[in-house]
Parts: sequence; structure tokens; C-alpha cells
Amino acid sequence: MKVAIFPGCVAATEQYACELATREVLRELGVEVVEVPGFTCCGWPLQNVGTVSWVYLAARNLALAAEKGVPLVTLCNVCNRLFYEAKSLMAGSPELREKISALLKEEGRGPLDGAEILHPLELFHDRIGVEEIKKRVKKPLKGLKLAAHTGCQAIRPRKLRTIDDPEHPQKLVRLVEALGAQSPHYPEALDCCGAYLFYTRKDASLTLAGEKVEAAQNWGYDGMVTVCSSGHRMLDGKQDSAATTIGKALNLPVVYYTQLLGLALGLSPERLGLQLNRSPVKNLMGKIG
Amino acid sequence: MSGITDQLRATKPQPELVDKFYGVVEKLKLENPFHCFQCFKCTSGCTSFRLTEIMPHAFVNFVRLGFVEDMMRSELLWACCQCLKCKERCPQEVAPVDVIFLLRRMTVSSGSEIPEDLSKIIMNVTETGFIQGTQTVKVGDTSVDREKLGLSSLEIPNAEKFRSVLMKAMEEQME
Repeated sequence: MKVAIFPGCVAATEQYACELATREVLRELGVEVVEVPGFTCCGWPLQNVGTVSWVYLAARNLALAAEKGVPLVTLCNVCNRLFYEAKSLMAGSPELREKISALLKEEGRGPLDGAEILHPLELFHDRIGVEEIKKRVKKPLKGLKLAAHTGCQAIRPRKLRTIDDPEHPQKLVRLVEALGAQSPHYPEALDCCGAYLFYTRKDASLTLAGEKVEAAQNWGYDGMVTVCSSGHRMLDGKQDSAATTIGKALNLPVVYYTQLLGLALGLSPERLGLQLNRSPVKNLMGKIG
Repeated sequence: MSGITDQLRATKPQPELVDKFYGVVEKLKLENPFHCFQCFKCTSGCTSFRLTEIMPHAFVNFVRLGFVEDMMRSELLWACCQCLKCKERCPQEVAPVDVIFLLRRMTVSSGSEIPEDLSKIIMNVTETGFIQGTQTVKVGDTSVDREKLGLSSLEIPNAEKFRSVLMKAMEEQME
């Protein structure tokens, strides 16, 4: 199996561990990563500006992967949703489709309908499979109790595409349990990380992130697992600022699923970029032994 | 409705803006706000409503009543966290979040100011293709970046061409 990795702005420019860990585990699992130079932002900020510009960016990135003939794995839930939304808008509006087609042609890009889009949950849960992952585990993560945070943009709206159940997502739970850890019912699983508000209402954004971490901490989870670089940046990267904003002490380890999977596959923490996490992941690794 | 719009200062309904709004809804085949029957399900589950005065059902309703410009001027336009719960759960398949984002685009195309940090990342995308430059991240006493971590460069082949086509895309308005 061959895939391209679409990092999106947050993983590409700041959340380096996300791409590192994804590359490491895919190599270990025998999935070939095809390099696609020239990926940019998915287009999200321009969704506030104009339809043509954001759909152009999305379609351009999809075209780049399509030129290599590989599905594109999105490291950010927002990018994933935007790619589907761009395709859906172009399917519904001949005028938009024509405009985007002309712009892509001008840049020398094509084809318009772009590549297949794969969310990491689809890649690990549906393609590689929970049973296969169970078989590959070398160091079961016994005794860990982890909160599974799938993220809003991956599961909603279901009309656009269904990666997991929008009201009761379970794929990440099963993937965490495949590694030998537990992921018991997490009541705040659907709560928003606040990433989207960061550029317009910083305090509200950090409050959402802080309250989410605080709730998981109060339930006694050993840590939280994420599949989205934007969400991870809020819950791990900005955990300290979020703690200050809500005036509470927060110290919940937050890891990418790929980092957790890598540890269970026996890969070294450094290769998985765990030294780059801002939350106290050492506490979690201490429990793994 | 405090916070959403000041009714004492509300302008008269603006039919030309309403036409523009519905023109885009029609062109892009967005969910039709007219189907809303004001059940408040969107607002009762709204993430941002917990922290701000934003009420998605009110945005939908005021637009239907013709107060498009008032909604474009409302600060609460920028309080949506785009969790998409309103779009997912609406029994009438209305998408308040899409109404809010269309109003944002109309605000930008009318030349009004938008939040500074958002404006900054939009500028960055148009200039570099990303919301920000590659950050240097501290690990203990040292700093790392993509290169030090062995990750490939983010350089865009033929970047000039990319930028010029993107600028052209930004001039092509549908809003």
C-alpha cells in the first residue's frame, strides 16, 4: 500500500511529532510513503475570505496527490473535512467547478477530481485493521487508561462523509484497545478542543482546551489520545496557557495515536517525536515501563 | 438578543444584501436557511454559546428577516468555533455554521475589518502557502526544526506561479 502524507499547516510548521510518528509507524507497518513536493495549506483560513480561493487551494493539494496516483492521508481533521467539502461544492456548482478547473489548468495542475482522501482512523482502523495492529504489538500498553479524542472535524457532518459515528465515535477507542490499553467511556469525548477559535477568540479557545483537559484529568485518565495536529496543538501544545486561562493546574499527558502505536510496536520514543510533546508524557511512559 | 444585534440601532432590512446572500446559497447549493423552524436545537448544543452570546438560530433567523448587514457587523460572527454540531444535528438540514461563514465572506468582500490574528494567517497563506513560517521548537536546551528532525523542506516548486494563481483565485469572488 502506498500513500502520500498531507501534513497541513500545523503539522508542517509546528507539530513536527505528528509527521515524524506517522512516518515511523507506516514504515514499520509496511506502508510506503510517496513524497509529494508542493503541498500547502488546505485552504481553511480562506474559507473566511472567498469560496473560489479556498476551494482552489484544496483542489490544488488533491490534484498534487492525484498526479502521483496515491491516496492522501490527512494529519489534521480540518484539512480532511475541507477536502471533502471542496469536492462536494464543486459537484454541486458547475460555475465553481469551471472556475477551479481554469485556475488549476493555469498552474499546470490536474486532474480536477483529485485524489482519494484517507483519515488516519480509516487508514489504521479500516485499511490496516485492528486485528493486524493487535498482531504487530510487541510491547502491550497494559494498565493504561486513556481518553480517546477523535475531534469534531473528523466526524461531522455525516452527510459529507462518515469516518466514524458523529455522536458516538468508537474507532479510536478500538485502536487504543488494540494496543493493550483501556479506553473507558469518556463523557467529554465530543467536546471541542477550541482550535478554530484560536485566531478570533483566544480566551474562549484556551478555555475550551483547558476545560477539556481538566475533565479528563478529573476522571483519572492516565492520558489523552489524539488523531489531529490542530487538536493536539491545543490540548498538548497549549496546555500550559490553557491552565493559566482557566486558573487550574493541568498535567495530563497528551499523545498522538501514532506515537502510542509506535511505542507498542517497540519503536524508540525519540523517533516518535515524544520529546516534542509539551504535556508531561514522561508520566505516561513511566507507566508503560 | 443582546450581543447578536442592537435592535434599537438596527438598520432597515436590506433586500439587496438578502438577494446577494441567497444568490450565493443558490449558486453553491448550500442548505437553505428558510427551512429553519427555530427549534433552537443548534443553540442548545452550541459549543461557543457556553462561553459567548452567540446563538446560531438567531443568526439564521435575522438573515431570514433581512438584517444581513447587522449580522455582518456583529462581533459574534467571529465567535463560532466551527465544531459543526449545529450542521450535524439540525432536523431541517439547515447549516447555521454555513450561514455564519457566508456572512464572514460577505464581510470580507465588503472591505470590513476582520480579527487581527485571523487576518495575519490569511496574509501568510497568500504569501507563503502556510499559516505561519516553520517554527523552531525547544527541546530541553536545544532547538529543533524540520531540517534538524530530518523532515523534508516545505518549498513550493514554481512558487511564483502558485502565488499569482492564488491571487487570481482571491479576486474571483462568488460572494
